[in-house]
Amino acid sequence: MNRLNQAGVAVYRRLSATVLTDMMKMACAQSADFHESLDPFAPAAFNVSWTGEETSLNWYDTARELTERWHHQQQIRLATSRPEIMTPELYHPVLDCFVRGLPHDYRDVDAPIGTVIRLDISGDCGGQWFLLRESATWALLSQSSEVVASRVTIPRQLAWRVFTKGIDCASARAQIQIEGNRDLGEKVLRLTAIIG
Amino acid sequence: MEYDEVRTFFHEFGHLMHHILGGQVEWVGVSGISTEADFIEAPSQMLEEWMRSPQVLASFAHNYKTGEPIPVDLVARMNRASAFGRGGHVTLQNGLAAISYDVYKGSPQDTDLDSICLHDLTHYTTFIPFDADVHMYATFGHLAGYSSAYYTYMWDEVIAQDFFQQFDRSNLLAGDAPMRYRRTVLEPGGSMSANDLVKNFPGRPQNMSAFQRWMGEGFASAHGAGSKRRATHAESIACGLAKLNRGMNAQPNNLEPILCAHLLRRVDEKLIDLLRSLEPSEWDLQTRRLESPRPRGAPPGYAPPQTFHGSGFELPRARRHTFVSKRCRAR
Repeated sequence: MNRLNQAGVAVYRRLSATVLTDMMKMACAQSADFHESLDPFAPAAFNVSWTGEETSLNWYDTARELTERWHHQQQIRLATSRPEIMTPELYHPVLDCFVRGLPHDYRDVDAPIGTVIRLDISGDCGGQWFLLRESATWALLSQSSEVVASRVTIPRQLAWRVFTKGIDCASARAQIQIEGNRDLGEKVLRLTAIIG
Repeated sequence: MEYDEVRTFFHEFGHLMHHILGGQVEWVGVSGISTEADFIEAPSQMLEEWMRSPQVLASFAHNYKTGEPIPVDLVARMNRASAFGRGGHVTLQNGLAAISYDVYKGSPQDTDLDSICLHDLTHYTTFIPFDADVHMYATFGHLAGYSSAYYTYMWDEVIAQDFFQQFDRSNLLAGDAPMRYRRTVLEPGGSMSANDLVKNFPGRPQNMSAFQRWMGEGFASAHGAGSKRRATHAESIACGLAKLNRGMNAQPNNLEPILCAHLLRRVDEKLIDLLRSLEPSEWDLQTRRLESPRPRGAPPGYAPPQTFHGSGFELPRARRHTFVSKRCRAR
């Protein structure tokens, strides 16, 4: 990945900003056409690797694509001091996609069956998700009436960085809140929802 | 006229406009609505949407006593009510399409109408299975007229919604869309492939985004005024389509699919605007900052300007070329 990226930088920095932007516009339109043409519930050509799925459905691959485009744009905006794109319409689906990697992230974490970890991401773009320990795996749910063993709250400004290697664990740990079982909740910070 | 009668009027008027405006081609066999059979219901269902426009209704729908045009607020409430339960409507249409196919796919002597209806409605819809003695096929009029092709209605609803989104919702007669629709969709009649017709009007291949939004409008209304925030398109669509696809078997707490293909275009638009707004120095600065945050020979106490590092955003060294290369990476 790094070698491919470096090769891309070497080639494309020879082009002017105008040409790069025009190419980008063309490629984006073609890519959007492609994703809109897919049957969302058919198997995708690419699996969403960080979820541990060997085969993913198209809707998931498309959602992953959205996270890529959103978070790289967000990086550029941060670097150039431009307004962020934290709108509920765009950021919430990105977060919703990221957190679906949590069951795979917790695959080696043992806990009694029925244990529930609640993840809150604050703000109008955020939401709440519940990680439930089942017999051999963890399941991510939209609601749970079970007693919560650990409740993790991540500020919305921080959440995307946590899941995209945008901040180291120690810094993130200092900025999130964990109620209840700290060890269990802290493992949310291990989730990397990007390739690399 | 009752609501359904008005909708039927607009629907049939859509067929009529197709017939009249497409009736000018040279050969009668490809004239008017003599198109592929599973395109016929697209212009009619597209015109159904026009009855949701307050301006269109106000042009003829007046109170018979006072002459007042139909109130805008009444139309808004009517539209909100009509958006309710579209997922259920679509599941029923899918069930009926399955029945029409299953009835005709085998030999008549082996066709058990009651069994097919019971199976397909149970499988495709969320309705409680009905008593086999109901013989519902007896009320399914299109089972004879459309034979195995009842799927046409839902197939064309997707096209109709894609067409409709090309119009200005605030004034359906504004802009070039109405005349373009007439020229590119209605006037060719059956002289062109319907595949080309559905591409020529929007100027791109058809897709399901508009249909998905239409499906989700009821959910958007449910999250309307007074709620914490409006449902995003993704949420609305996810709710509608997930129920459609999983029916009654869905676990209530399972997460819905994230159906967000339409958002790629939105986020891309913002990216292009962002890139166009960058100064030449920012393009260069960005790369240089990432490769070398502390320039060689910088004076003591040098502090780089606001960068990823300055904002507390520490990218691992291996990913410091992400921006250019990710953009260019072919999937």
